[in-house]
Amino acid sequence: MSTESSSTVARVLKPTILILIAIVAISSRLFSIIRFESVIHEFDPWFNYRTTQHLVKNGFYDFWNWFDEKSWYPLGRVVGGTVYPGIMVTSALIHNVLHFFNFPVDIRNVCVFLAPMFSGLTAFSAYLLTKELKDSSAGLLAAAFLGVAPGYISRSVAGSYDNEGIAIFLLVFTFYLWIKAVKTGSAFFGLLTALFYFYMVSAWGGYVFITNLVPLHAFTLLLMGRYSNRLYVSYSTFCAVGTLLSMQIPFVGFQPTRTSEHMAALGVFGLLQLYAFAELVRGYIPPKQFRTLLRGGVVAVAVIASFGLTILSFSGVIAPFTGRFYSLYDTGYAKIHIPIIASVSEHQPTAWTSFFFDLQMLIFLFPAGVYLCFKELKDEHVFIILYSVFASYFAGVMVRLMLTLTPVVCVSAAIAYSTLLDTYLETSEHVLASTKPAIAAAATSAPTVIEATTSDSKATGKKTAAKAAAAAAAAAAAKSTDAEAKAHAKSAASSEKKRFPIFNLDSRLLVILQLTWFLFMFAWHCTYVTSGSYSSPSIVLASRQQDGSQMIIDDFREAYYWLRKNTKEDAKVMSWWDYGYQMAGMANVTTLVDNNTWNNTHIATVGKAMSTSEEVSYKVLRHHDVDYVLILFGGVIGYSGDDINKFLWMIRIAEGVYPNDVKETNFFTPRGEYKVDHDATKTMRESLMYKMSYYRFAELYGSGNAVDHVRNARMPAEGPTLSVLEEAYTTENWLVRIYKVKDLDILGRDLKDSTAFDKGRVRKVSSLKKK
Amino acid sequence: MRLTTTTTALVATIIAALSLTSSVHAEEFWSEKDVSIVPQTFKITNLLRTLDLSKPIIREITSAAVLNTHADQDQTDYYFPVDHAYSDNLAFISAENRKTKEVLEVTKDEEFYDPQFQYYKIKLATPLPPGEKVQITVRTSLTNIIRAFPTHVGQAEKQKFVFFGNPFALTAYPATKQKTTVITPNSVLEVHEHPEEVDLVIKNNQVILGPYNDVSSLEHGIFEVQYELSGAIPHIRSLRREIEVSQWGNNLAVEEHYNFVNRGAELKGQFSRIDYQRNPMGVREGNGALGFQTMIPKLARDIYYRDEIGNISTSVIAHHPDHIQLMLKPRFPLFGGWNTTWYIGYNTPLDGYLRKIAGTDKHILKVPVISPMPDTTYEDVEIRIVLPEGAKNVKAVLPYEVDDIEYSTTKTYMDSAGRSTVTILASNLIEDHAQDLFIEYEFSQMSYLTKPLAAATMLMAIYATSIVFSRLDFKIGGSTLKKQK
Repeated sequence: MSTESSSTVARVLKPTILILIAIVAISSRLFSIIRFESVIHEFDPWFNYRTTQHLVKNGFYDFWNWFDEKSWYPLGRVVGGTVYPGIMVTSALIHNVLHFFNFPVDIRNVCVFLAPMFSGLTAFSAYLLTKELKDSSAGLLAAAFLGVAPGYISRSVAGSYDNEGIAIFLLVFTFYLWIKAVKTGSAFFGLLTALFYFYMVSAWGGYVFITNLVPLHAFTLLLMGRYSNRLYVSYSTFCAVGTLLSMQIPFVGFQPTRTSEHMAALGVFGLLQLYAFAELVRGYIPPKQFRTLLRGGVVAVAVIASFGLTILSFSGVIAPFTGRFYSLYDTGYAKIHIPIIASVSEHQPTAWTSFFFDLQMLIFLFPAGVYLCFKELKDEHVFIILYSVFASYFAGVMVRLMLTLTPVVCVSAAIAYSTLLDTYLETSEHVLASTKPAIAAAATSAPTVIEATTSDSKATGKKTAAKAAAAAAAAAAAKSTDAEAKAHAKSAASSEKKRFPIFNLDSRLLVILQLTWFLFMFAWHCTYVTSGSYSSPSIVLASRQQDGSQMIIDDFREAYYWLRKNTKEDAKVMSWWDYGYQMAGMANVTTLVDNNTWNNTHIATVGKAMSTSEEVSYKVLRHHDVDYVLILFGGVIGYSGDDINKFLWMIRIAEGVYPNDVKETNFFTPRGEYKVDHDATKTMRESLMYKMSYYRFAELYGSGNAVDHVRNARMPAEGPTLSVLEEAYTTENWLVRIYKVKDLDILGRDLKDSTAFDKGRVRKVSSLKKK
Repeated sequence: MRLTTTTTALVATIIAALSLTSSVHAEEFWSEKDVSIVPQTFKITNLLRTLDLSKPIIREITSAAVLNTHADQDQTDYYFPVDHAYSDNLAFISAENRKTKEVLEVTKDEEFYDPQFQYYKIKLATPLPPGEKVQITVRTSLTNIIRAFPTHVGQAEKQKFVFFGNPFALTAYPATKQKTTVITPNSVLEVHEHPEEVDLVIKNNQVILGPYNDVSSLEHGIFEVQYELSGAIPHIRSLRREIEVSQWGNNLAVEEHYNFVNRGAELKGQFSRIDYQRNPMGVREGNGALGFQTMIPKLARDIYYRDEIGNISTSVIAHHPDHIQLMLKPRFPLFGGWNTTWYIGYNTPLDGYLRKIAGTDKHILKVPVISPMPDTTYEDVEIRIVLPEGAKNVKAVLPYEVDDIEYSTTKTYMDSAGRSTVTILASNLIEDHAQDLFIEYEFSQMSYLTKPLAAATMLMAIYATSIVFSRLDFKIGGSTLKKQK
């Protein structure tokens, strides 16, 4: 096969493979659609979905100026100024374009399928990035890895309509553009980098990773003495345009010039200017004077800069690092200072098993890839090394940052894997390719050779030459060609990075089969993990019945839809913040707190209302005009993510703000146990959460047989009584319980007294009857 | 007559309500005698009226033996008056000859205007000669006329309703003899009437008013009955039915959006799951509903049942020889006063619905106006029928009068010109309205080619632009640089 035809084949194959990878990436994210339905998952996506609906319905300017009075009652929330609008604008744009071409696709479906669609693009950008680092075959491998790696799938399955869905594509693509810009030194690519950086800023708070990694790369190159005009042009373009653009997002605003997280970008920008200036000056001044000037300049700049920074920091112009940022240094920081951050499971440090779970064999290939990068160590390889180091650290600190690690793991693993394949697979072709010109050279050097041999192709040429015994000269010529060719091949191989091809078929086959086996295992593992762990919509639960048929537990939507349809339009519903977004999206009610967790005091107030006695809590409820209280209770079906299990966090957060009203220690038994049964403390039994959870629970079972299936606790036969609340709705499996806050008593009595009075009268009548 | 204090109070409120609604004062109401303004060409010799209260929709059957009293003229037009106060409640009216079972044409009369009564003109199939008699049966269905009393009941508590109306059958002509039978689902709880001259008989679940002799035309009084009626009073506030015809795919896509409210007695206090779990059937005995049944075509496929937040997983499909029974169970039991919304949809082959008239481009589409749910009232109904792109001269033919028919165009998947759309607006529909409507339109064979041609043109345009673009050089000064090298 000639090189020309093989390159044509490659030209057709590459797009085909890429398209297939995209299809695989998309379709492997559709498990939940096939199993359940096209529905928005989890918590945050419901907010994004709701805002997207608002954007599509009311237009961009209305969305920009949207004050949402339905959340954080009575404070409200300025939505336009507190969101990363990238994902909403993207899907609204897709929706509007489709509608322009008369494709009446529902916005819900656009939102549900957005993340899978973008995963196809992510795979493509991984290809581009890796191609810049090694070659296109490594690129294809990287694309395939990233397309199915569970670490990325976990945040981008269909229905998981979250910022990360498009942000990972933007992250990888921005890095690709940056590398391209550094390589070419083109202002055009620098500008593109800045544009995609802007898109990234508009889409995800994780843009800070780019803001710090790119300057770090530039800085490292400076330290390595690799300053070049390419670096200067690309970084200056990126930094100037990117910073200006990023400030256009209201949520980011002036942060790029005023917070510590963004200072690195500006600092490196200034340093580069100084360096460039120094380089310029060096050209005009003799070396001796220049050295003096440089020394003086460095000292002056250092003094001015440190003074300036200190003054700005102390005067508050530059804000210090935020708490979330500190928790990246010290994993224990959040637990002590900001329980609200620590209470989120995705902010926990990563367990080592999850590295294998999310990346499988890639995690072993990853260091090898980084090592290979060290061996090459061009500018772009330095970037990948830096990226790997930092992403690994962050992924170790916080579970959700596994997401930023996954792309670089895929890229490095692809480099390692493809190098292995190159060594064990491509050698034969390599030899053949290099022998060819050698033969041609030999043929021309021996003009006496019979025409038949030269005109034939190389392999058959040898055979015919061997057969033609009569022509001895020709045979000699052929032999000499062979020997020469070998010599040529060896010299070519040694000149090319001293790679020694492996000719032994056994060892080649062994390695290659093993590698293929790894690939199969990887694909199998990815499918298994995606299907088993990452494809549950979490608003619908599925369980197997005894006869093997699937039973769907749809209690959340049951409760939300009941709230949506059967409460007054401005009903205020209090619940723990976890369910805020879902309630706003599905139940369309006013909520007190939600997943935006921007106001710790407000959340603590809700925590206080949940964890104090009825009298104290009733005041809080009345103060906040609460009509309904919604809680999750898993005791009947054994759903462990319920509010009693989250109760300790509520208590902790409430205690942080109201130390006089709530004390964590009072909820523990003298032996230090967290109990809900007979041993439960008085504070526990009197707390509103406990009462709401177990109200009339014991009646569900026979006398004294009530068992909480989550905590395996035998409950007292006499359940708690409620006087300030009344049960309004409980779902089929008791998973969601909604209580209505009673109005003040019409006779001005205490609600406790009036309830007791009502009950007492009933008791008296019945006791009279018995007599 | 049983009369208790509650009834007295009830009557007082009703009278008060009446005096508010009608411009006539209470005292005048009783004294004033209305005079029929239609030509007095008939006399009713005997009239039997049955008021069936056993379902949420009240069925009134008036059978009258009618005598032509005119001296020499044959008569064809018999008038049937309905009090304007009930015109919003009257959902359906039909008439038949009781002997021959012939269906008689009923039209809303425009000729004789009376501020208090609306006359319906019933056209006899054969003119009635003088001195001859004919038996005419008029059936009317009244919706939204009964009121829960007491207005709130507890979970699984029996709900009671009050019906109040005219003890006499309202006629445009004097009646020699008339009698009314009221049928209730269970035992009659309380009855009260005015004027009180005539005794009434209560037998189990029946109340017999009359017989009254020599009742003048448009005679009216007041009569009310309280009775038990279990289960929901299903009411659809709005129904949007979308039907899309695809002649290419031989498919009829139907989607129906429901906005439901249970008009039964409202739930007293709140809902208790534990009480419900102990006695789930109590919901239906009280004021609630657990689900609804509806019929969809036998060959329907891709059936879905959803609401604003996704799929509702609790529905059961039962296949019957001629249809599919769809048992829709909402997310939560529906007590009195509770609302919910949902939508269902399916695809079905077009074969049974569309007929092409041979030799012409004319097509006739036949679809039911609504797919009925038993005992349900539909307040506002909108039916949108989207015809294939290229359908011309569209005309809708309906079996009865509706509020409005609009013709427009809709643009959907890959449309260039848009599809002809018929929108039909109707109100106060019940099961009886589930008749077929017809849409006539012209659709030429050439129109089948519109879509592929449009798609091909679009692709061609894309290729052409990409060819042009790939040949353009966008590099700034690229060629000059090359030359310098």
